[in-house]
Amino acid sequence: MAVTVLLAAVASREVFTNSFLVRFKRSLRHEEAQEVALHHGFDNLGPVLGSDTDWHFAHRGLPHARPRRSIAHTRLLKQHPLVHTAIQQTGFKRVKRGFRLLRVPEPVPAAEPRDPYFPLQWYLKNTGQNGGKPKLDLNVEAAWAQGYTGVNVTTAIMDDGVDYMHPDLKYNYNAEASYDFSSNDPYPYPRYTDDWFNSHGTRCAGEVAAARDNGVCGVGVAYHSKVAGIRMLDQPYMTDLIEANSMGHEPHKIHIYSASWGPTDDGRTVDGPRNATMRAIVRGVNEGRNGLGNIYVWASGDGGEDDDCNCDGYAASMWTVSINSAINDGQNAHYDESCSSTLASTFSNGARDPSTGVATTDLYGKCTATHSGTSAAAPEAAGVFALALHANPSLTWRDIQHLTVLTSKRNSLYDAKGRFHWTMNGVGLEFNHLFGFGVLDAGAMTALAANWRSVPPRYHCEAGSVNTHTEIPSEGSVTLRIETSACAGSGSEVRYLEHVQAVVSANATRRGDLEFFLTSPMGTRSMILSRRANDDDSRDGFTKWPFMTTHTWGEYPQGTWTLEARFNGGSGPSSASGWLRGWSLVLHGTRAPPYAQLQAQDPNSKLAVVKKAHEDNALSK
Amino acid sequence: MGLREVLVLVISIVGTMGYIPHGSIGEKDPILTEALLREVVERMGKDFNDAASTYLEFPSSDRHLAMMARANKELEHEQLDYDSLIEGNPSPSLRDQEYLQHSSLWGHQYVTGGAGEGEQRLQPSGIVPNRQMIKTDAVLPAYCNPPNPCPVGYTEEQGCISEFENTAAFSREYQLAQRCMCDGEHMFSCPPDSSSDLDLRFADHHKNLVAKKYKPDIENPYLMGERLPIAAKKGFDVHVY
Repeated sequence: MAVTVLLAAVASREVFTNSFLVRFKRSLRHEEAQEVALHHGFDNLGPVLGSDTDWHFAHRGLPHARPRRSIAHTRLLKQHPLVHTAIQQTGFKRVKRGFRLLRVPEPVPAAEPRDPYFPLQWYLKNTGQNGGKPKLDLNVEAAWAQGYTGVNVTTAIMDDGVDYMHPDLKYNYNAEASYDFSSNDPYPYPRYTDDWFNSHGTRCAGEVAAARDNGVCGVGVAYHSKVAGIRMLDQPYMTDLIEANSMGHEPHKIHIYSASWGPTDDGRTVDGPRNATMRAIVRGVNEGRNGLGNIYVWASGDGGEDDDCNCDGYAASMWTVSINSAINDGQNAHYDESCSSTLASTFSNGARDPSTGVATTDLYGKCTATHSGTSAAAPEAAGVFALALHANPSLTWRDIQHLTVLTSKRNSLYDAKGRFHWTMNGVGLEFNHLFGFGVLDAGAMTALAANWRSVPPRYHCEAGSVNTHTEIPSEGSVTLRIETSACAGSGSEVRYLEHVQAVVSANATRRGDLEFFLTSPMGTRSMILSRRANDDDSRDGFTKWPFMTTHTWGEYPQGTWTLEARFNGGSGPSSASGWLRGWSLVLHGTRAPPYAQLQAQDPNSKLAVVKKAHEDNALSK
Repeated sequence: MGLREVLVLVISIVGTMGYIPHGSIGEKDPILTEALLREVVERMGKDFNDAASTYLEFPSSDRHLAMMARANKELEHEQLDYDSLIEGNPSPSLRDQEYLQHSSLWGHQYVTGGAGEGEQRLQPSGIVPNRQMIKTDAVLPAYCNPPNPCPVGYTEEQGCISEFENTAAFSREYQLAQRCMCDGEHMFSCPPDSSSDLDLRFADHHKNLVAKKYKPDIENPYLMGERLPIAAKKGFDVHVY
C-alpha cells in the first residue's frame, strides 16, 4: 500500500492526510467538540494552539495519506450547523537539516570485481602485492559499498585520444561530449604509430571508467561513470586555441576534466596557460556544470626533484586540483615534481620495477600493467571525484577541493629522502610539501560528500604589497613582511582561507638557485619555490608570477605574512646574486566559517578538528 | 618516364615543400594543409572569442581590470598588473566569482606530458620505452588522421566508419592510405627524404629560445646519422605509383 500511496502522491504531487482543521462559528467546550466529532465518525484530537473555535479532528476510516481530497468527509462536517469551515490537511515532506540517516556499512563486504587485471590494481586494493604496503590504496571498495560508482558523471580525458572501441570502455564512452581537436572531427580515436605512443589517453580512460565484471582488463575507479575523449595532444605543435577549446569543450556535459600534460618539465621553464586557455578555465569554473563549476584535475608533473610545479601555471592554478603521486609502499615517486600548490596525491608506479605500474586498458582492446608517471595519478583522482559527484551531484568546484582537503589521508606516505616532513597547519590540518594533504580516500570522500553542505561564498582580498627592490644576499636570506587585516571591514573580507597567492617579481643571475618561503600569521611555512638545479636563466627571472600555496587552508589570514627569499647552491654555496623586486599577497577564502553547517560524525576526523578550531577561535574573539 | 624517375621527381617536389604534404586533404596543394589547419584553428578561435564575454575581466574599476587582464593583449603593453592594483585601490571584489589573473606570458609555448614525459613503458608487455616529446606552437605541420570508428549508437550518417576492426593493423593500413607527414619520432622507419624531423626543429628566429630551453636533441636515435635510401615498407604513396 505504501507503494501505491507513494506513486499516487508523485502523480498528483499533493498528499492529503486524515486530519481536518475544523473551525466552529462559536467557542466550544471540549465535550461539545467531542460530540460533533463522534457524531460524524471522527476522533477529536483537541483544540489547535489553545483555541476554542479551531479543533483538530481525524477520521479513522481514512488512510494517513491519500492523493485526493475526501470531499464526502469534508462535506459531512460542513453540514453541521456549528461548523464554519473544515479543511483537510495536506502533508508536506520535511527533512531534518544537516541530518541524514547513518549509512550502515554493508555487513558482508561486497564481492570483489572479477576482472582479470583487478588483482594487479594495487592502487584500488593494496593487499601487499608487488611488495606494496597493504591498505595503502584509494579505498574505493568503501565507496562502492556505499553504492557510489560514478553514475551520471562524465570525465573528459584531454590527451592523445581514447580507444573508445575498447570492450572495457565502449559502453562507458560519452560520444556526444567527445571531440578530436587534432584532426577536427567528433571522433577522438587515437592515431596509429609503430611504438603505440598514442596509448596514453586510453590508459587514463581505463583508470577512470573501465567496466566491471566483464572479463576484460581491470576495473575503473568509477566503473559506472562515463569518459569522454578529447584528442588534443597529437599534433606536432600546441596552440593556445587547441588548449582553450579542449578545456572549454561541452562544460555542461563534462563534469571533470583530467589533464596529464603541461609546460615542459625540464626544470627550467616557467610557463602556464595563455590568454584563451585562461579564459576557458575561468569560464569553466564560474559557469560550467550549470554554474557549479567544472573540476579540472591536473598532474603535478614528472620533472622530479629538480623542478617545482609552482612554475607550471596550470598545476599552480587555484582552479585546478593538482595531484602528485606516491608509489605502492608510500614513498614519493622519484619523478615526482613537488610544490605547495599540490592539493593531494594518488598512486603511480615505482618506475624502477615495471611490474608495479598501474594496470589499465591499452590501445586496440588490449590491457597493460605498466602505465606510469604522475600522468597515471591524475585520472585516479578524477575517478574519485566522479564517485563524490555521484554521492552528491550538487557539489561545486570548491566543495570538491574542501572535500579533498578534509578526507585525504596521511596514511603511510613519506619522503624517501627525508627532506619534507608532515606538518600541522594552524587549524590542525596535516600537510606535506610532496603530497599536499595526503592520499585520496574515496570511501571517506563519498561519505562526507553525501552529507555535505555547500561552503559559504568565496571572497578575494588583495592583502597588501611590498614594492621596494631588495637585494637577496648570497648567504642567509631576506624577508619581506606584509601586515594585513585581510580586508576586514570591506566587502571582500576573508576570514577563513582557501588558496593563498604570493605574486612575486625577482631577478637572479641564476634563477634556479632561488628559493622562496611564505609564512602565514599562524606560522605555517610553505616552500613556494624550491631550487631548480637546471634553471640557468639570468634574464627573465619572475615577473609577477603567482606562487600558490594550499598549506594554509582553513587558517585565519589576519596578521603578518612573511616572504623569505634566499639562494641555494645545492651542494655548495650559490654564486648567484639577485633582487627581489616586490611581492603582493592575495588571499582567497570565505567570510563565514566553511564547515559550520556540517556534522562531524567522527570526533577524530579532520572535519571535527578544523570545525572545533574555528568554533574556539570564534569564541575567543 | 620510368618508375624511378617519377619517384625522384615526386621526392624532389616534396623536398622543396619542406615537409610531406598532408595527402588526405591536400593531395595537390601542399600549402593547403597549413591553410586548412589555420582555418580550423581560426574557426575554433572565432567561436571561442565570440563566446567569451567580457565579464571575466574586472568590471568598471580600471585598476582592477589592470590586474586581472594581464592576459589581455591590449593591456599587456601597458604593464598593468598587480602592482598598479595594490598601490592605490584595494577595493573589494565581487564575491564568489573568479577572475583572470596571471603573469605576463609571451613567446611560443612548449608543452610536455602524456606518454612523452618521464619513463614510461608502452604496449601491453611494457617492453617499449617511451620517448621524450615536446609539443610547441612554434611550427604547424600535421600528421595523418586516425580512423573514426562509430561509437556505440552511432551510424555512418554521422560521419564515422562502421566497418572497423579495432586492431593496430587496421589503423596502420587506414593511415597508410593517406599521404601525410611521416611521424619520424614514433614510426620505426620513415621514407627517405621525409623531412618531418626537420620540421620539428625550430625556425631561425627562435634560436635563442631553443638554445635556452633545450638540451641538444639527442634522445631520438632515429633522427641521427645519415638517412638510409631504403624505400619504406609502409607509409608513403610514392612507391605505389
